[in-house]
Amino acid sequence: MALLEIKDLRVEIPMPGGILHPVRGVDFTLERGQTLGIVGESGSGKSLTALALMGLAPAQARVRAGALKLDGRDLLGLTQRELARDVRGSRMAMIFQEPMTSLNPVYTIGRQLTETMLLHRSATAAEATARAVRLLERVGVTGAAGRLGQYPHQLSGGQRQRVMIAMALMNDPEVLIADEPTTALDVTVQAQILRLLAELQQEFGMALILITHNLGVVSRVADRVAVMYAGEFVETGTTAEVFETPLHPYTRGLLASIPQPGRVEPGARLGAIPGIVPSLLGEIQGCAFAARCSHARDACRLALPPQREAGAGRAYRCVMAEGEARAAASDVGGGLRSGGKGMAAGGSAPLLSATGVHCHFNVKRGLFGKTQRLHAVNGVTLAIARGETLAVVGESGCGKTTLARILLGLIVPQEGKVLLDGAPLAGGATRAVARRMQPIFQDPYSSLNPRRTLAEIIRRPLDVHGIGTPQERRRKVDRMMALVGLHGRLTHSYPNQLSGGQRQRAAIARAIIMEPQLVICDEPTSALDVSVQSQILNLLLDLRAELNLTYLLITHDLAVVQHMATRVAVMYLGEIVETGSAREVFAAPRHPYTQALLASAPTVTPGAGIPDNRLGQSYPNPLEPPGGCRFHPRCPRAMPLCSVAPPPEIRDGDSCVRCHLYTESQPRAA
Amino acid sequence: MPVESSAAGITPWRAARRRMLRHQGFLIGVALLLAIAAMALAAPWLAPHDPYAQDLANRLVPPAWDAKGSWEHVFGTDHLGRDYLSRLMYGARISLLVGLGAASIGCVIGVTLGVAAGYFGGRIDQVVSYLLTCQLALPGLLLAMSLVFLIGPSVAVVIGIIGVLHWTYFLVVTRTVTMQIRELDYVTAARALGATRWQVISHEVLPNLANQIIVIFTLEVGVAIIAEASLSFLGVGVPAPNPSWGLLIAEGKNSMFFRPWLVVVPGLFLFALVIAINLMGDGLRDVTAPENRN
Amino acid sequence: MLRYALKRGLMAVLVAITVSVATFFLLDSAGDPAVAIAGPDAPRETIEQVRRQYGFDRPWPVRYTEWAAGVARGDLGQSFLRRQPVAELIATYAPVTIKLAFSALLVTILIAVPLGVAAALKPNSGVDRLALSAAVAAQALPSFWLGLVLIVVFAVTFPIFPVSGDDTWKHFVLPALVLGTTSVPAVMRLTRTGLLDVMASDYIRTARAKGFMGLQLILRHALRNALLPVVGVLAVQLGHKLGGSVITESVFALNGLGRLSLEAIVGSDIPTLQMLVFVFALTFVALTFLVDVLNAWLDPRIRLG
Repeated sequence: MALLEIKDLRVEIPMPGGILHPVRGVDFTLERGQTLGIVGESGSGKSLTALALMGLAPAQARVRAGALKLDGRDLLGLTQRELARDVRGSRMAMIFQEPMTSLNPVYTIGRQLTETMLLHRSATAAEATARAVRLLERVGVTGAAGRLGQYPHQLSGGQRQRVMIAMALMNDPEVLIADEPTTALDVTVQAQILRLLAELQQEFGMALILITHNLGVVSRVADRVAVMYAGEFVETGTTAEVFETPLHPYTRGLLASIPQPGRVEPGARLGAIPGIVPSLLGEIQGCAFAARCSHARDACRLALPPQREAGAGRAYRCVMAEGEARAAASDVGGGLRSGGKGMAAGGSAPLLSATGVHCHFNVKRGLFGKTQRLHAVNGVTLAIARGETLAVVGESGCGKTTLARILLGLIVPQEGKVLLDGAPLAGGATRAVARRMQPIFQDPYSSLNPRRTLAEIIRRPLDVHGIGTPQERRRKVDRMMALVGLHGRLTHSYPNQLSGGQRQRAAIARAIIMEPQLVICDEPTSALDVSVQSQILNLLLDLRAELNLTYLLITHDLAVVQHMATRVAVMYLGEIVETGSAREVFAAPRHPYTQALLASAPTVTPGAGIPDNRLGQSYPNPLEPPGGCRFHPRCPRAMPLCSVAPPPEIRDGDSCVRCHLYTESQPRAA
Repeated sequence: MPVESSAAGITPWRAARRRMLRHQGFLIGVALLLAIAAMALAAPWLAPHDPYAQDLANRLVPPAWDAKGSWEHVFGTDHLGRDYLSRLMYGARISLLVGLGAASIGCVIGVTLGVAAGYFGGRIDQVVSYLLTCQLALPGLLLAMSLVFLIGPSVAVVIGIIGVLHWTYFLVVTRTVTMQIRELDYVTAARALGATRWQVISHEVLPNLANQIIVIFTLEVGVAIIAEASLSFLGVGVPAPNPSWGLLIAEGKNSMFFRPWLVVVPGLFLFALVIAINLMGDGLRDVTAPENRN
Repeated sequence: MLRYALKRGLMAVLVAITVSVATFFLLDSAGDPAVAIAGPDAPRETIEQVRRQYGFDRPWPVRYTEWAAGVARGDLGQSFLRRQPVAELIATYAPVTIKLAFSALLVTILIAVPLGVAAALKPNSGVDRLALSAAVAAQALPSFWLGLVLIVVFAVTFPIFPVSGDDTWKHFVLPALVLGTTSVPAVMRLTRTGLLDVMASDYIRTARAKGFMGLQLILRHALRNALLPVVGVLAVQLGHKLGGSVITESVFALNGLGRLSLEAIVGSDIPTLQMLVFVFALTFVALTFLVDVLNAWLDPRIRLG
């Protein structure tokens, strides 16, 4: 008997405008010890499915199912009180996405751990405490006994997520549901947490439901995967089956839209799924994906396509018969998709250069703590040549955003020079500087003024600089909107009427309307859905070729870097630890941190598991950086010298690396 | 390559208007407010008598529903023979004038300080926060009473004093919201354009404050109206013979056991006016930022 | 923690001093104290005589420093009107105001907090709508009018409570009700919004996932977080009641500091007025200081940094 049996799960939420159907008929079974990955974009209903399983759907929601059984016992008929007493926290546990806010700030870690056990089992406080310590150690929190008395705010994000996992395990659950457990964490920490989850699942014999939007993560960690779109599973099967032979057009579209090194050449256009997710308000007639599907036929729009079986445990919901679907799958997969519109090599005089830039902030800890100095940028030197795309890669707290602001002229560094085309950036973002260099930001929701129309927003640079007559400005706005793929009808819309992708396009239009030479992109696609990311990346590549743009790309997403960048600079705790051409750095990374980053990046590799990036647990505190080489406490190849002296920069042509493993005479081998 | 062509939903203005027309509280408030404002504006034509005209022969005539009353004076007359209904109607003018005037003064002071403190931070913020703390520590009512009395009671003085003592709510909200807006990317984008500080504030920050300022303004009008009524009741507000509702209550207090309407009726008018304003203000808040509700 | 307390304490004192300077200056420039004492119809020589006699011809910073030095010594000035030391007057009238303020605070807590909690637990229900309507109504109610109406009702129709004077506890019921309801809207809304936010927070979702629900969930995980800010507001309200009781005391004929203030204002008794304002400001500042320290201590994020 399957551990978890779900048939035709539906969730309906009455809203002022009608009834929302975020989950529209989900079926699956979960065996003991199995990992099911539910993958989908935002709005697909995956989180709500998990919440419905636990009985945690919002109060106004109506949850219905043909069957919802845990180990044969029907969960649907249980009252909330019975669910809380018998199922939640004891037989089924859940961990969530935001470790920073998921723990109660006024109670100690110890109390939040032990209360879980004391709620469900008749154990003494001592027994609960002992188990808490054991579990904390097992999930890798150092100094477990001491941590019990600490409060959540005293732990880092990764540590808090480990605490959440320990909390979930207190009562030996049979099913663990992890809803985007690592999305809010850095790549290197993400890898560690995912490895931990995989290990724990084996050890505790649990079934794991992993919910994520990240195809790479799910391909490596899950045994079986279900692809969710608009409230239903469009395809299920083992990970290998689904990723190697995607039978549903949506799955194919998703896989085609992520940059996959080895499958797609850098600079090539990524596949894109046109359109947006349909509204879930009211009933949807026919296939929910039909409006965006290149294979759509009339039948698709009239009736819901049948659920087709394609082998044991393999299913997909489409009008295409299995043979046809398999043929379409092999069309897309395999073979290198070629080529980019040529990426200009560097070589000319640098367009933008930063030399020895130091920037620190005075930070007050708490309301009465002493003022400490945060060295956000610590001696950074880099140069961007005309026509190239330099990617600055790093995790949170490395200082890349501060660096971006310094380069834009918005922050004046305490030391160091920034030169734009040879001229120093004195006194900040002057008009002259602004005309040559413009930013694009990460969050499409906060980068546009909600009280202004699109036309006003895109036209603003021209207004501020007094360029052209009003008619000329209008014409320019129209031209820009066409260039970035926004329909003229949207000219007088407000940002809240647009989707994330549309807003990001508007932000790009605003950035290029004055025809700058350099565009600084700060995580331009991180806040967008997978299928929209590819649209924006394609757009950026097209614009690069058409307008001869130079990009400074700031990101943590290595797949995007490999796809778009000509050169890479890796940043850690305010310093640049390695630079080089993208090809070199990815093929043969020199700095141990770069190596760890690359090892942690989840590419789509079914069944590969998550490699150990060997980074250990001492998370860096930017306010108290380690002495010597800043990376040495986490470095798997640290030598005694590393804790004493900061490593020098070893240059080798265009590349450089900051590590004691390399010397001037031996810049490559180590 | 036009790819994206559909815009979901309708403009925020139309959405807001639709919500306004559906919001019961807002509609009731607006209706009531318009009625009282109309009465105030049209008082010179609607009032049956001159509110200042004394008629000592006809003092304390009871209202029309009493046996000894007459329809000549629907609500009777006061202790100096003045027609009560006319005084009530003219009283609305005073309340509305003081309310709008004082709230405007408070708004200008509070918003200016709030935007300055929120946007520039640093020393300016420290000074403004200090000013705020001092202002909060002051016993406002006492100070208002003293100042009005010492300077000499008049409508203008009352407006000025109440306005100058009622800017804290504007400041607190404006400052907090400005600080939030300052961190948003569209402000950074404007700065990266080379826009001057004033351009950024006027083009990016203020439009996003407007909704909240309007809501607070509306509520502060109500606060100012009650403040004026309280001051006048205590004798240190709008001076006699002006027909301020607070004064009417004070004047009627002495005979309230036998003629309770002298106290109840002006109070009801005050209550109705302020409730109308508050309903409208709450409705505005719900309508312009429905996400802040629940 | 100690450093925090010291810093806050220093700030508090500074604020009180600033307030006293500002008040001194305002009261001084708003009207002419010599005229006020001698009377507006007095001949010019009398006014000048009074001015010299009381020392009003000296610049105000000098007079302020004198006053401040006096206060530091414990000499709180002499009332023009009553020819008594201000300290005595304040001591005599303070107890009534203190009793009134605390009873009013009790009324506020008893009405506003349960109403706010009930409203937050069932948003958009009948209770919620009732609570919000009550808030809107209470905000529109002039306190002096409410007082008068209550007097009419309880003196004439149901003579349960006395309507003036301050001898027994019964005398404080109606005044406390009037003074208390003025704060109910703000406190109720704050409690409601605070609890709503907490109930929608991520850590409550975690607690639910652990198996908590119902009363246990609220009492253990929600209330403590939600009520923390309410404590602060209550302290501020108490400060306001202490300094703003003049209307209630006037309507109900209570012999408290409010009554004293009104008398001082109308009688141009500047020394008393100055001292009263200073005392109220100092009390308010002390209360908010205590609350800051309490908050810092209760919230581990601040306590442990």
